[in-house]
Amino acid sequence: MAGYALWRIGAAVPVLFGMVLVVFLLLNVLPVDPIQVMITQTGSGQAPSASATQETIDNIRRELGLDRPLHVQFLAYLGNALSGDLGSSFRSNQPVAEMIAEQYPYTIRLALAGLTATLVLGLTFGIIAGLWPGSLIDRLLVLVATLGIAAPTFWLGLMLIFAFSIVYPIFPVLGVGSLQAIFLPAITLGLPGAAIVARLTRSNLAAVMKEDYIVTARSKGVSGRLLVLRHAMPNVLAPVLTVIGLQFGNLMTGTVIVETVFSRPGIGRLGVDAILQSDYPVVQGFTLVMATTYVVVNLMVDLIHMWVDPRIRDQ
Amino acid sequence: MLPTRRRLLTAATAAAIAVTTLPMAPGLIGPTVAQAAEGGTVTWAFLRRPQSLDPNIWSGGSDLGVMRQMYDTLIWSPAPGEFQPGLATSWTASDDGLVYTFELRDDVTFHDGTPFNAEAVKFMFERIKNPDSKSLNIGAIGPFESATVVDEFTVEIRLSEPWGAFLTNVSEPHLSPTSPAAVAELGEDFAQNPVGTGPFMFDRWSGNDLYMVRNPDYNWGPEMAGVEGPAALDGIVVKEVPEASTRMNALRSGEVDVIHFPVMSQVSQMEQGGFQVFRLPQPGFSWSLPVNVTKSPTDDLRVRRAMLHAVNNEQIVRTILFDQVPPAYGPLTAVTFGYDPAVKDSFSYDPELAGQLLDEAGWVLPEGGTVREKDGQPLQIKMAMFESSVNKAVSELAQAMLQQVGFDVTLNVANYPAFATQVAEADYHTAQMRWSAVDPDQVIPTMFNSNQITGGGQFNRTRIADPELDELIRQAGAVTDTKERAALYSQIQAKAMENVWIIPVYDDVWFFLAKPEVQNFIVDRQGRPMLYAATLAQ
Repeated sequence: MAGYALWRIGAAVPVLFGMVLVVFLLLNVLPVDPIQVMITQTGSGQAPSASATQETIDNIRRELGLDRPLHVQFLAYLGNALSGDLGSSFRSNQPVAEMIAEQYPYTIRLALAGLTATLVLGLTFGIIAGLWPGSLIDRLLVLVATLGIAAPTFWLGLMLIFAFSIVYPIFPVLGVGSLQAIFLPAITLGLPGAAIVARLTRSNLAAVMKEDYIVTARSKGVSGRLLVLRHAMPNVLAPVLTVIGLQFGNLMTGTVIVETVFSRPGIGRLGVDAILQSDYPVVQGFTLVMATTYVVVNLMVDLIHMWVDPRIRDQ
Repeated sequence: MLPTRRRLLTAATAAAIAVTTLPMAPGLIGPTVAQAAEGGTVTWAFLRRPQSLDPNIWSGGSDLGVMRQMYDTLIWSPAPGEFQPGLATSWTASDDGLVYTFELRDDVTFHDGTPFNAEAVKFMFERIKNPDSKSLNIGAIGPFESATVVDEFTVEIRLSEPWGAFLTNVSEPHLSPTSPAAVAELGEDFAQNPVGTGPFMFDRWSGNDLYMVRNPDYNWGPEMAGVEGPAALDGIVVKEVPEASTRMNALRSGEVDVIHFPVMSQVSQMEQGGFQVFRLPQPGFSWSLPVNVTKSPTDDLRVRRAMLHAVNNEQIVRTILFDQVPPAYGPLTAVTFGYDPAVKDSFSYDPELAGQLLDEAGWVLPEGGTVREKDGQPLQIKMAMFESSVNKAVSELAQAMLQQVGFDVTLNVANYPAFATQVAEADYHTAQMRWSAVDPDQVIPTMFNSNQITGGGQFNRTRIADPELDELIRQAGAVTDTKERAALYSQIQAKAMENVWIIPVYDDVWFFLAKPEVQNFIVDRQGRPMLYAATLAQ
């Protein structure tokens, strides 16, 4: 088992290297001069209030090493990244690692809250629908789940704000500061995943409930909650676990939008702003952290999978 | 309503200053203020986390609005060409216009407790000039040559040539003294831990939100604020709320007190709902489409004139900006010093005339076609635009209007850096421009001087290179007589419209929306709030 785990961890290294390389190349083929980024201000559509001279521009370019050949720049970046130095933002001059360290906890908190929403809503509705397939409540839940998958996160967030912050002022509009504040962002983020989990749980549970061992358990007098949770769910959960691992990627992507709609800090916002402003070092750092998170989460899911599924464990 | 109230407050303070020995509580001035209580915190929903709070180095337009709360300037400007004491009690210029001497207040301390003095002013100018600081505000010190400490509270600034806009620049937040001790100690971290002399002090960052607290020692506010002593508010929170509809909702739900950059279509509805709406016309360069005079077919004046008559700026303002801003008729907005109202007669929407002009220039509509041709070549132009607020919508409408008279317009809407690159490569016939600045000398040279075609920000998007024009611009900047300057700027504006260097679209207006409880919300000349004077009704 330890060997398998080590092999999985080792396999993540080339994935991350490839990702860094691809992002580096992509950013360098864009028709954008990063120095323009540094001397202009975009957010408000405001032009800079003072202009830089050509000399300033050349100086900045030399200082940042942007006049060196591409492969030299890449190797330098890689070397620094390995020692935790992700460079400095073109715009604010802050170290990228610092910027990410500041924003990352907010995103992880939001992602975990979203994951909780996915699991609680998805499993609850999935189990109810799965136990009574074909019933009215089942059909209703399938309909809601389909809508949940289809609804754009951006729209969903604004609708939830309108309903639960303006019409019925239960939750704050701004999604940061208190425990209550994370509720709407978590629902917005977790709902599409919940819909998928609900549908998967429902179909798996409906199938498992017809299996021989359930019939056997039932004939031995096991019933109700024990039958479902003890006997049926372990077999239902294995594929659900895999989907959750994959869903975590969507969840991380979703934070980008949810953080904007609910004005939460986070690296999703940081990344999008950086992309809009062509702030390469930040885009690179952002992609690296997002990809690492995704790889680590899926590694964890694999290990948990191995632990809950004896068939993999014994291989 | 706003200027009137400001005048009233100014008058009230002037009277109060006559009896300076009496301690003045801000609550005593003006009828609205009397109802308000001391204290409270104003929460301002802000477009984005301010990237830097170092006024000498960073020039981000909206970030300077935040810095206004934490810093002071040597002098303040309540109106074009008028100045009031700030950190400087008086100032004189030498007859040749090369040396300015500032007498400074002797009772001012920075937020870190270190004294403000002539050394600090010298430090500020030299820091901006030093290439190692990579200051974006090098333009704000113009022909600055050297600074000399005459005595502890007297400083002399020497220029290499006369500069009419010098005092205006000194009144702008870029030239706010920063604590030399804090800059030395914090280095680049100063940008996130600012230390100034202003009415509010930096407290902390929480996530992307900035917290400021009242400076209890503050006693050097400008007369134009209309209040004295420390600020009435306990503090200010600048909360990052990037999404416009969320800003509106946060104001509705009462979570924030003040917002900027609202959803335009909801402004009048909010106003009817009892929220205060402050419309702050921006001095500077109007939102316009400079036309590239060096590239065919827009190198032909008749083609440019046709474009000017084809774009209906009044309709753009009506459909996209809900009539909340005025249409523009020239390079300078109507509230800018030197604006010449004569530009209003320089053109009107006339698509028929546009067609005639194109016919004359040899661009004719082929039988049954919609795009004009000349010698088998279609009338194609490229429009460059960057994605920000209404830019995309405005340019799409302008594109449609140009197509109606027979242009084939390729519109490219990109992020700013990509747009700037397209401009730098001269790969456009028209590219958007707008600029906020209080003095025309901060605008006109940047837009029309030949030295702005390459290098710098490439802001001469007309790409006009005319030595006579350069000389005229230089004169207008150097002359210190206000009337003479205005006359020179009139000439330049007339030239710009006669030659159709730009297609003016609208005068930019900044919007602030506030809860009714926020009182005495005043702004500086560029529309930056001065929350020093504000109070919160309980």
